[in-house]
Amino acid sequence: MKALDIALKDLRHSFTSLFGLMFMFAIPLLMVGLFTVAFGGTSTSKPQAFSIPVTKVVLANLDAGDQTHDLDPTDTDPSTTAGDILAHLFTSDELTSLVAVTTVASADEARTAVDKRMAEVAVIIPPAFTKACVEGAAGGAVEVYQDPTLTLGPGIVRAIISQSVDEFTSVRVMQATLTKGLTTAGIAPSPEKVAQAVQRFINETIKTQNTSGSLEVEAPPMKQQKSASILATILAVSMAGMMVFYVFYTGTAGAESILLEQEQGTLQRLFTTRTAPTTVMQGKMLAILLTTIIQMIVLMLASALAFGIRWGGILPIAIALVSTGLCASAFGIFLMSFLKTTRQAGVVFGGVVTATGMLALVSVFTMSVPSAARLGQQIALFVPQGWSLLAFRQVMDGAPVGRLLTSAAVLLAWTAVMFLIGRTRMARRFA
Amino acid sequence: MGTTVAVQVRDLHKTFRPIHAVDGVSFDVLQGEIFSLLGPNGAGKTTLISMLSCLLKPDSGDALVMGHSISAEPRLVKASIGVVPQEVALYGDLSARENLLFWGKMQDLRGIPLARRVDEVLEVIGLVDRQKDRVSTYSGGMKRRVNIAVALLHKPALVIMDEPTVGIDPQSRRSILDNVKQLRDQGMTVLYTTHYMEEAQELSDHVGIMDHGKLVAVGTQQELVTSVGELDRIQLRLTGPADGLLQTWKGVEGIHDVSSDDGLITVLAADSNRVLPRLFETAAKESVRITSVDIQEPNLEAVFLRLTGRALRD
Repeated sequence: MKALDIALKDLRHSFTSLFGLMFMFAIPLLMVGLFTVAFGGTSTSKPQAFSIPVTKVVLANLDAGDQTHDLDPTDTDPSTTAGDILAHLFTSDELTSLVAVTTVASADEARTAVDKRMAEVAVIIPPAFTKACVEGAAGGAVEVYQDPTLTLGPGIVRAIISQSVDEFTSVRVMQATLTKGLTTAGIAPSPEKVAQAVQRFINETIKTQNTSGSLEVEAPPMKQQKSASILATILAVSMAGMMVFYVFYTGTAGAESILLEQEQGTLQRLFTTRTAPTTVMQGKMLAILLTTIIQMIVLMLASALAFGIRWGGILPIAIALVSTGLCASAFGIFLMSFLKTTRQAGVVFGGVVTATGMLALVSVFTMSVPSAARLGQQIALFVPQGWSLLAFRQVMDGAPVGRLLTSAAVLLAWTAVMFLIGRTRMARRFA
Repeated sequence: MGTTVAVQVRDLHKTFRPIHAVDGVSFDVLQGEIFSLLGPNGAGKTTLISMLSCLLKPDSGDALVMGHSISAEPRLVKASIGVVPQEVALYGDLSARENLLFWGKMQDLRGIPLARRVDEVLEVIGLVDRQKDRVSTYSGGMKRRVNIAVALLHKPALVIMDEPTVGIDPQSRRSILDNVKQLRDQGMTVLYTTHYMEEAQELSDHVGIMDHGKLVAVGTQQELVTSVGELDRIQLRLTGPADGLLQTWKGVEGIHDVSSDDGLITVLAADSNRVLPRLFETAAKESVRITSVDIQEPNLEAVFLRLTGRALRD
């Protein structure tokens, strides 16, 4: 209970220090933010977001229609043409994110708009478009007039037209097949019934289209996806590296409070109370452990939200987190046991903590260089931070718990050795 | 002041090579008294009370605090003492009340009894109104008062105070000295270290004089003065020539010496109260008027000077 009282008092001190908060949370996130910017934006390990620019389309619908076929019996206008349907499709809400359509009256006007770069693609629907759709007559090809430097926008426009024309064709084929089938069976085909059957087919088709989308823009090709995945991995490991680096800083800074209290006389005063020196040290250790764990949780949540980093399952995270917190705490107590004043602590921060932290980060810096990656990982394992980073990488890679437990066991061994040395040296200072 | 011994110090030694910080110190402190350790900075007072507070292990010797050995039973010793360190040892980012609650918990106090006790000590040190302010915003004197209050929370049998008035204003100093006397009145034993002779004189039932790690003398003030053979100093001014009178005074019983310097007559006597009427009597017989009298009784400063050959502030 007294250890908890001491820990809560220390936690309050840590979390009301602006400098402490900056070091614990702001700087690690800022560092990874800078990496993100340096690597050019997104760093998610999810499939990359894909966006394409809206293509400016100028459309000239010259379709004269077919007096014998009203393609939309449901409306009151008996003169709906296939060109009207295609034009309507281009201006539908579904396609506003892909094409911005302007209609003009003539083919020349449409081509001129492209020539003058007022539009990227001109779609010219010929006068015989309906006849071609309904009867398969010649001269009904839709002309796509485009800026020759572009590929993606015109490609999308062609896809829209092809899809639409395919549907007209399928309707025509279906109508012909139905009529032929009825005639062969000796039944005089009723134009109304055939029209109703076709309408049902169209309705079903529209339903299917609404479900699946009339036009799908696929994810990037595999090569791009792979490169995005490598970037995401680098940034995720960088975040883990930064987190481990600064958590060990926090562990040392937390342990520095022992020296600070010694200088302020409060530590000696604690030792004159009924509280056992061991309880005092337990309270200190608990405070550092809780601080580092809170720091890691906040950094994990913030980086998951800000950079889309996926850290892994809760149990593996908990194993890596607690073993790292314990090791960082013991690391701090171990280092501080060699010091007598907080002035000396500056040297330790600048030298030992930074140097060991950088050794661990060698595995991050070399991960994109295959020839150096293995050596980098081996060097990192000479310091406790390296094992901690390894544990988090295993968590992110979804490694088996057995492998993770091995890393955690090594971290706990570091913890035990450093804590025992630190505690023994500290105990010598006081009766 | 009782006759039961609260603290028995026996031949304590502590060396910080090459310095003998405490060199064979022995003394007793009676229950309910104020015992002052008087000595200049570096005399070994703080090292001695650090050992009595179980913060330092003695190289040799031992002390019993409320019957418990500082070497063998430090936990029992700690349970019976309250320590007021020389420097203010508080958490500046906590309020006075939060500090007292925290330190109370460290002394095994909890819940309502702790809250009540905190209220009581805040009342005693006169900081009820500012109890919720951060200690870092307090004046030096206020911090010192909280520093003392922390040591009183668990009502210890022995309060050890290490120079609690260093560097504070006269008003706060007065307040602290009054608090110390109140503690004695409440039956507590106080072990008080100081290098201010005036404080030791005002407070102490017994005084131990330390220098260079040794306890050079211990006793009541009167015993100390007597032990070094110091005399009362009576300084007088007279009207008219008094050569004959001075000769007469040299023959008066109890007077050890009479001297004159630029009209100021100095008489050294064992007891000024007994000698003074005889001085007035003989002066009147010789028609000499005494226009001023100044009596200087021997003090601890003089004792220290006599024992160590140097002044307390050297």
